[in-house]
Amino acid sequence: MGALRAELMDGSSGRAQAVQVTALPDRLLIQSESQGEPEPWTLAGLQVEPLPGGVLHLTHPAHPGALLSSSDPELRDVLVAAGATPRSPAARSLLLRGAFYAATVAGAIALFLALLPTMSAGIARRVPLSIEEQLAFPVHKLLENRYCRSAGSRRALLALAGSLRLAGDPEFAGARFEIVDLTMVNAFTFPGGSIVVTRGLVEEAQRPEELAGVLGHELEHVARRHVMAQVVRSVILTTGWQLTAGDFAGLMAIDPSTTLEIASRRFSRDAEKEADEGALRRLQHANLSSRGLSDFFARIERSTDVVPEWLSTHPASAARKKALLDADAAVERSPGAIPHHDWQAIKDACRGRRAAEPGQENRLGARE
Amino acid sequence: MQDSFAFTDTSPVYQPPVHHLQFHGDGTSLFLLILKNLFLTVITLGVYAAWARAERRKYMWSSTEIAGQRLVFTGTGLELFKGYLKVLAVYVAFLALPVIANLIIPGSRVILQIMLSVAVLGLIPFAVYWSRAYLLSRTRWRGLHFGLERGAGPYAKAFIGGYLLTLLTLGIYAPAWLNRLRGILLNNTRFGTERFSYDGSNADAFWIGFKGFLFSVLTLGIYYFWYAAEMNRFVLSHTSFMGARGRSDLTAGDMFAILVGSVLGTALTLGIAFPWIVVWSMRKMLDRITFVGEVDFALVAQRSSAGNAASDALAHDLGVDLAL
Repeated sequence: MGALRAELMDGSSGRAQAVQVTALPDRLLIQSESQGEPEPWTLAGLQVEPLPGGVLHLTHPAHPGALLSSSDPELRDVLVAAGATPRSPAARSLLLRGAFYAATVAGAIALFLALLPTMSAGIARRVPLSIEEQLAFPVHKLLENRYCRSAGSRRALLALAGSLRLAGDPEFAGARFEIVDLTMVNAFTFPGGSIVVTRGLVEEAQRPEELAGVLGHELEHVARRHVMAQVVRSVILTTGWQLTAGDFAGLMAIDPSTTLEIASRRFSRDAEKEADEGALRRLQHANLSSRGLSDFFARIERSTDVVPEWLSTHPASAARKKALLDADAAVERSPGAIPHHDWQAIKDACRGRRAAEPGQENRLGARE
Repeated sequence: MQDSFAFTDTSPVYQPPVHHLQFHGDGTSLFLLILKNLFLTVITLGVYAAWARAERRKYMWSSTEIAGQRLVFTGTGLELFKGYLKVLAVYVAFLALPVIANLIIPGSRVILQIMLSVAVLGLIPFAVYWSRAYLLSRTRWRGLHFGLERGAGPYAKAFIGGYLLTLLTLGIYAPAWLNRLRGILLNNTRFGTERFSYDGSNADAFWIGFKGFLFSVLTLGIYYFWYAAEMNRFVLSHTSFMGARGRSDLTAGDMFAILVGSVLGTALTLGIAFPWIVVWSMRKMLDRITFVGEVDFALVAQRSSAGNAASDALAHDLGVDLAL
């Protein structure tokens, strides 16, 4: 075999000199034009780094700073034969390795997602109530000027919620029950045990039992610390993502934020199901019919079931309605959740506010 | 026989040497590397992330050829991991400090939190500069190290001043600001003992940016590709090293292909094609960049470079790293 082509950089200057490399059984002889005697690089200790595109970088501890670069394919063959560098793995071996990595990663992610709800719920239960209450402050601050408050409505709302409470419910010191002047039909549980229902929901509800059902549902979220669990879950998912796969966003089948969002939605649906079951227990405890809530779901069905269930944060309304109707058969009907005048006070809660602030209705309407 | 003659210059026209850039990576091997890194990172619960980053950089660097020689990334996963731990310790201190202070001086927590948040924002330009210094100190070519001279202070001053001016001018000043920052970084960048030079004026950059913004708005964004190509050509043509000056032949069509192709390619393949797209766009970009002129590399000597891996972690966490 003749001399092989390479370039030598000695590490003291940026000059790259063309050299000829002769391979001997135990060493490489590197001959440059400027040197008389060839420089020996022993194979023992030789470090070979194959680079993409067939280039080899050779370094040697006996020649610190020096770098031998070669794209001569024969040099690679020589070094492979001498055992100085491993043979390139076959395509089949690479494919198998890739499949193993992919399968393990998919399995680890599936296991992690399966354990996540239990893990986050367990951690959430151990978070002191006072810490969760601290998270509520900015939310109330944001909505403060939209809350509808009349003495009658506050008293009635508290009475209705109070009748739905169960022994063992967490005692948040700053928990609030509010009606917010928003046209959307919705109710929210905020950190710190506060429950906020929208004016749209109050207007949509035709009977106190419907509102009682919604409140029972939200109270169950509070009791199970679902909000805290959601915070914990988000922290775990985000941190886990950053720690493990943050640099590999492009490899995901879908982008990371969508993955996290869909994962959260599934957990959210589970939590909603639990809250529905809890609402039933609370309604039964208060001796109220669950038909109010099922009627309510039936009415909002058309507007909420526009997305498939797996993409939704809530179980499909039809399924929820059926579960409630099934349960209702066992409940002894009460004459009503609250007296008529209290119900009227709740219905009128935002009326006074809108009258006091002409133009507010339009502004809010435009924003929603 | 020719009986008359004319004065013809028979001496060869001097053609300055052209130094080409090339990318030799391939999508499949990058895909397998990413998959292996992901696997090891997941099974080590994130600990391997530092090594994964070093591996990925090694691949990208060693696939990049400049004037016939490859870049070498000499950073290690261990130093990056130690850097992450240092930054983590600082974060813990940042979180704990207000709580401890509140125990000593009740009510001081919020003020301290605000002060620390401002301090973190103030760290951004330093993180950019120091992380660049780290990357350059761990980059070797032709056996010599790159480096970034000290200068984080003036860079931070220009960064904050320019940022405020950009806010005040509703973004109009941005191209000049970015050009100034680029100038500081490039003029402080060296290869061995020799510095790079950047002489693109802020005024020229401003007009390119202003024109780009104006026409992009008027053409509903279509002009953006012309702007991006022009800015790229401007930056390269004002960058030089010793006797060689940069040249970019990137056109608006190239920019369109790279930007739109990357987004569509990643989205349509649900991200799977990402490694191939990275390789394709790197090849397309580097194929169109050259340095023209004489460089006597024998005159460039070795010079050691300092760089702290913690700055790499800090820049990554603050979202101001080069995403490499």
